[in-house]
Amino acid sequence: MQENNSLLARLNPAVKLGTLVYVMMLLITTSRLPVTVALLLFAAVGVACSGWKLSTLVFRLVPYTVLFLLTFWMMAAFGKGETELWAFGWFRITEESLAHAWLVATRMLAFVLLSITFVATTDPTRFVMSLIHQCRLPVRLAYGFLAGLRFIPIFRQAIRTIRQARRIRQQRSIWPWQTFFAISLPLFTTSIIRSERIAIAMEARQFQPDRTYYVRPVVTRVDGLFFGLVCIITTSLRLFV
Amino acid sequence: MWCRNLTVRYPDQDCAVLNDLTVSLRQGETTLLIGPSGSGKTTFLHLLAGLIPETIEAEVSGEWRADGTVGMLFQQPDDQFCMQTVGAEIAFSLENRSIPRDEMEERIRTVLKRVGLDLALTAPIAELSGGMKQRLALACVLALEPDILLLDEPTAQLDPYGRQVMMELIEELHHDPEVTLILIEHQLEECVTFADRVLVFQEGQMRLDGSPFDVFEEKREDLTRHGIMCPLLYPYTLETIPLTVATARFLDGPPVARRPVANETTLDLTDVTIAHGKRVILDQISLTASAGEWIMLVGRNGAGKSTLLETMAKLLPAQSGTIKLFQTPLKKWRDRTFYRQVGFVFQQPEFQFLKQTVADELAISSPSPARSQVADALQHYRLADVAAQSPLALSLGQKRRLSVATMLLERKAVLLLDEPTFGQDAETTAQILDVLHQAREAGTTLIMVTHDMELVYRYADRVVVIGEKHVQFDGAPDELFRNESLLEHNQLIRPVSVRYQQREEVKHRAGKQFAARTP
Repeated sequence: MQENNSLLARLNPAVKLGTLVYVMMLLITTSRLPVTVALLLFAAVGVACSGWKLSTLVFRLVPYTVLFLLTFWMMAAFGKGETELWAFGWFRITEESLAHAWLVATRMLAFVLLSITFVATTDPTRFVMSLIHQCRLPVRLAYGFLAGLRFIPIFRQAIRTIRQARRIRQQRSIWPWQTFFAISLPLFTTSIIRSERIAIAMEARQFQPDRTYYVRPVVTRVDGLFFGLVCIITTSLRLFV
Repeated sequence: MWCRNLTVRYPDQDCAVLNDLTVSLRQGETTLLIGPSGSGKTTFLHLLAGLIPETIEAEVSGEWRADGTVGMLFQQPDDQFCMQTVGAEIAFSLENRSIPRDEMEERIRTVLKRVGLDLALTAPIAELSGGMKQRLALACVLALEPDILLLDEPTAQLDPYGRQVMMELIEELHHDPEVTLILIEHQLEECVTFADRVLVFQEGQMRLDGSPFDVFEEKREDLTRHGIMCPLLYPYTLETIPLTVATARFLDGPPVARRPVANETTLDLTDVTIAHGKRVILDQISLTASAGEWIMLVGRNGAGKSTLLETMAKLLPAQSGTIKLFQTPLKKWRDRTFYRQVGFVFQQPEFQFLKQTVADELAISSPSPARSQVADALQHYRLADVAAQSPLALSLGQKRRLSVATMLLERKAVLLLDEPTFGQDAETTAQILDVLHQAREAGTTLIMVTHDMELVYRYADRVVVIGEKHVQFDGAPDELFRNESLLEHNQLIRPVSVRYQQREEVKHRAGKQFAARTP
């Protein structure tokens, strides 16, 4: 997650999340392809406004495009249906399966684009603070989550070291889960020790739920306008397309 | 602040950590706590900080009281933060005290200035060096405006430069009459000069209590006999220490005696360039190592020492240039044969262990280990008692010894080590060095990244300074320690021994009379 200066980044994170979840709900409740495509296009506009450079965007979207194509192919070639269009070996594409494939694949892509819009424009600290203030998330849980975020780069470094050590000591596992355990066990044990230390350090700094806030996101008129506008547009897309 | 008949016992242990302790400390006093590990120093601080018995479970009996706000700084620089950025982290302290939002910005800047950090409030913590992190942690504690400041080995996990800066900050705090300082520290040299009082803990009880002079001068032999470290020079300084004192004789001692280096090349680097993406980290490095040579790589944080080591271990590819082991380029070596010749000891030993028990860990270190070989190694590295334990459950020193043992079970041609003595106590360091010294005598090339200049002076055959993408110096340690500008430029600090010897030399020369002028 990162923050930038786009309009979406300046919105209240909780409101933004609520809005996007509403759009996702609309996506789930429709089984009509035109509506899904219309909402997909809407999500694409959102991603375009996320303030990411085109190159970054393309780079991040490549894996999802592959996933899109795979989903499409699976649904189309193995789906049920009466009207056969094309068949080869095990593959049998029918009109019904093709329509179904379009629907599921575009819906998935729309979900991905909405999520990326959120991730690209939201700073985690502000997001958690907004959850505290707008959604009444318990303070202890919220700060615990923020402290946990710091583990991500630490884990990345640790996994790298473990892989290197396995290479140097010429340890190869026969089954993939052996690799999984070999890597996760030391990570798990060290992170228990670390999280205990961090918790103690936080307590030592007199951590308590009764507090003031350095970052205090509020809901402004712009947030309300954004929520209303997106709801109206997407609902009418859902109803009238 | 005082405590009376204090006894603390952890739930999973039979013996009390603190046993019937009675002590009182006055306001504005600076107290140094020393004692062997496991003597209850840290527990005492946790208690004063109000962490025991609420946060850390323990049975406590007796009375104690700490008047005023208490702040505590811990040993691990990385494990004290819960936010992403510098500003938010200090604000966390202020939030806990319910300081209004409008005042925060200014207070954050004040404490940052006080610890000498010139950072943007949005700077990510993950990108700071260990020394800077520890200073930030101190800033966070100072933001609590504590009356009592507890410091639990604040410099143990820092490099010498970070350590020096941190010590200066602590000394500055000592001069603040409002603040009561209680300090656990193994860097005694700097602390004794400003501590008002020294408490010596042993087995949960207070053995000695007195001024630094009373403790370290009069009871020195007593302490040494019990294995408690004493400051090297105290009560003298480098300038005043007389030659008759045992310390002076140690300082004047030459580097460890060893056989001359054989003339047989093992690793050979020519014009090696290493880059991460487009960012060049090391540019055209050339280096040749011989069998039985102990080379130490030194330089600032982030100079690329570890990267160079990883490249030599065939873990990172070089962008250009060639690296040869026994005249064969690294690319032509197959992993299986290469790693029988080259070993690597990582900075964090816990991530290097792959098996569930210590004995298994040793058994996989050689392709066909004889049972006696493993048993011998267990004896030699003093790991026999813990052979059936998980490597992750060992003490720090044992982990270190095991990590070196796994690499030296088979004789290696080259052993690469990334700060193997970092954060270790004197005893563990001595053990590791002993083992490495033996490996060197057996003809293994040792290439080691270190920040410890005393080691460089005592053990290195050659020292290589890495800085600004290049090799800045490659030669004998003596030569390096005479090059003032090079040392300063790379944030290197001359070891005490060398400083002492250089001072003696100056004195010696100054004592000579000029030859009489002949008309």
